[in-house]
Amino acid sequence: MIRRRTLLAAALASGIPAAPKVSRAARPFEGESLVIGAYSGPTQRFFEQWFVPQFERRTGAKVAVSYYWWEGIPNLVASLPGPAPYDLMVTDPTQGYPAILGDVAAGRPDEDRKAAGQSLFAKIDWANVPNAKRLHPAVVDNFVVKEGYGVTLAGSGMALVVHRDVTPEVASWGDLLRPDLAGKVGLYDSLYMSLFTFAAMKAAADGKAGRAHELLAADLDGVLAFARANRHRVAYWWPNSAKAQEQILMKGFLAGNMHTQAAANLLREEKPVRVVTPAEDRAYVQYIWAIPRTSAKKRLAEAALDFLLAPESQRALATIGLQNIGILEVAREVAAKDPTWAAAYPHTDEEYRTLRYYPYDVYLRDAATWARLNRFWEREVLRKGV
Amino acid sequence: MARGGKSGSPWGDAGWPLWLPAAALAAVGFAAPLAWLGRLSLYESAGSGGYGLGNAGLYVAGTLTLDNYRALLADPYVWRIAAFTVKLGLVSALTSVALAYPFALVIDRARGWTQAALLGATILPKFVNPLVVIAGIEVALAQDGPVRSLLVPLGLVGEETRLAHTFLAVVVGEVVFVLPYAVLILVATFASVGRSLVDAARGLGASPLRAFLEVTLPLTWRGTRAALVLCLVFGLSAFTAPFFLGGPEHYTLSVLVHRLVLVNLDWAAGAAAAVEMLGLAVLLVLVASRLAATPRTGDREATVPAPAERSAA
Repeated sequence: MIRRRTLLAAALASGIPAAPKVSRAARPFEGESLVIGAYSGPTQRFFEQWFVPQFERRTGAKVAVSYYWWEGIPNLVASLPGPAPYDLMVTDPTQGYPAILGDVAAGRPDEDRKAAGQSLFAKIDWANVPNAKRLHPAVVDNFVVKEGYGVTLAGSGMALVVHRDVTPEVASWGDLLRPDLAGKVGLYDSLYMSLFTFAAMKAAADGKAGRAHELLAADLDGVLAFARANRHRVAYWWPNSAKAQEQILMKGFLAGNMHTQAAANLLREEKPVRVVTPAEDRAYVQYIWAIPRTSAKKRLAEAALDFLLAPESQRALATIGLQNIGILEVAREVAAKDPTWAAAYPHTDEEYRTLRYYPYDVYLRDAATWARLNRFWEREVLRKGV
Repeated sequence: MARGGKSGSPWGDAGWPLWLPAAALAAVGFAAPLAWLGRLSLYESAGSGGYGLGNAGLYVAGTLTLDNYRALLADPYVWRIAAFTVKLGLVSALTSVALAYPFALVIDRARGWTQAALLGATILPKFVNPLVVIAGIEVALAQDGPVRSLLVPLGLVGEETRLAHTFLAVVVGEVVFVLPYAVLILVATFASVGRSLVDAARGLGASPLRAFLEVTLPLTWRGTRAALVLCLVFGLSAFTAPFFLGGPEHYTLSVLVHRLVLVNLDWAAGAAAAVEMLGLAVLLVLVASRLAATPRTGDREATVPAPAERSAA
């Protein structure tokens, strides 16, 4: 069987242009190759236009980027115990936490990990990733970073997007409960975001806007019941951002949640929508950049991770990839030049200080909770209960 | 003529150089993956934690159990999805054949460039990326799309009625995907029947309706049945239309398999669901073939009354 790595290596060998002249001493990884696993979508532009050429020029290494969505971790698991398909990869807590904590959270470890006594990811040598210190503390305040399994970055946030035809104006998550919007709401079909949206709606309805995280932690079952009771308000469960954008423009739904990046793109293109994300109950996707423990290129992967976290790369991530970034100073600078980006992502002291991820810690409290949540979401919220 | 020809071999007179590539393709492309799917379904499930690993892996290696089948068969959620899959398969198959039959008849009766144009129009959608077709259907059925713009003023659809992401949208999508196959099968069937018997029936005094009912329909029944079964097979394995044009209420077994395998990463349960789906499809196709064969058996000849009978009448 031809492995992904072999195919990527062949692709590398066939078409990579010669790197600009840089002294050999400054190119410590000359002749080596690296495979990065990254999410499909807008980050592709960042990797293709910025990261790959810049990193290759600086290090002499050849870089191939393999794009995926849900299949990144499955590819890694399927490769065991052989070499990892990626040397550096991104994942999110729904896949990343079990990948790190599999033998702790699952209750039934896979034998490879148990035998190795390790997660699927290697522990990072922070001495090789000095730029990690530049990240805002709120961005890296979690066990993944504290225990050295990877670096976390905030991704898209949860935006409240409304079609311009909707009157009166929608201003809060609680407004999604308005009678005139019943059957006209659009929500992401993934629970990590939309269960939080329901929590924000419930918090607003209870007069406790801004307390959605706490509400979920204290009364998970109550939020689940609320979601089930209000599922009829949803006209469309969008499966990805492109569909969300398409459907709100075609009035498949008139108001609902959306990733801030997708919302910002609608604004950039002057589409007939309003983005009215309330200050209360903001939450962001958590990206985990990690190095599979079965990668043989750990040192090079750490160099790539360090370069990813460098100010110039973070700036490019914001300006080329239109992504959220982890360095406040760079965020301020980008926001000053791009108001649409500023509307989508944190860029002030206050916004960074109060930055919170989706409540993954609640969702992934343990394997049983996660399994129960998914079962309920799939059977009682996405579909009418059986 | 007896199958197998002079040689008596199931491969007929064809020597091994002719059947070997087909057999190899079937073995590598179908039998082996199917065998692996079956084996995979017998591993212990590593859990169904939802997105991501959830639990400890894709399946528990080194195990052999029927638990995945037991769990699926005991789960009303799966039965509901199976029931919806059957409903969608039947509705889309019957709709497709009902639409394809007259269209194929028109193509058969047409001549020259008209026939070529109609055949081209039938085949053309198959040259288009299915996602483009899906996008077209979505635009057509959108709240401010052309279909509603037409139907709402006529009072056929309410102001608030949604067409997109409904069962109707899923059926429309499925029919658009399957219809060309049904039309092509029926066009070939009509061509094989020819017009002479119909002309003879008309010449003997049968009305157009009676000629159709007693000559055309019986003679094209086998082709119609083949089209129906093919559409049913497509309908039972529908994924694209329910996934893109429906919503969570329109999950089919194919979508369930997709979610179990690629979202929940529960390969063992996904494989068991896939095997069950295969079994259900085979069962339904057998039943459908049987039922379709009952009213008019085999190559039954048309029942145009002989001149003597007509005289007697």
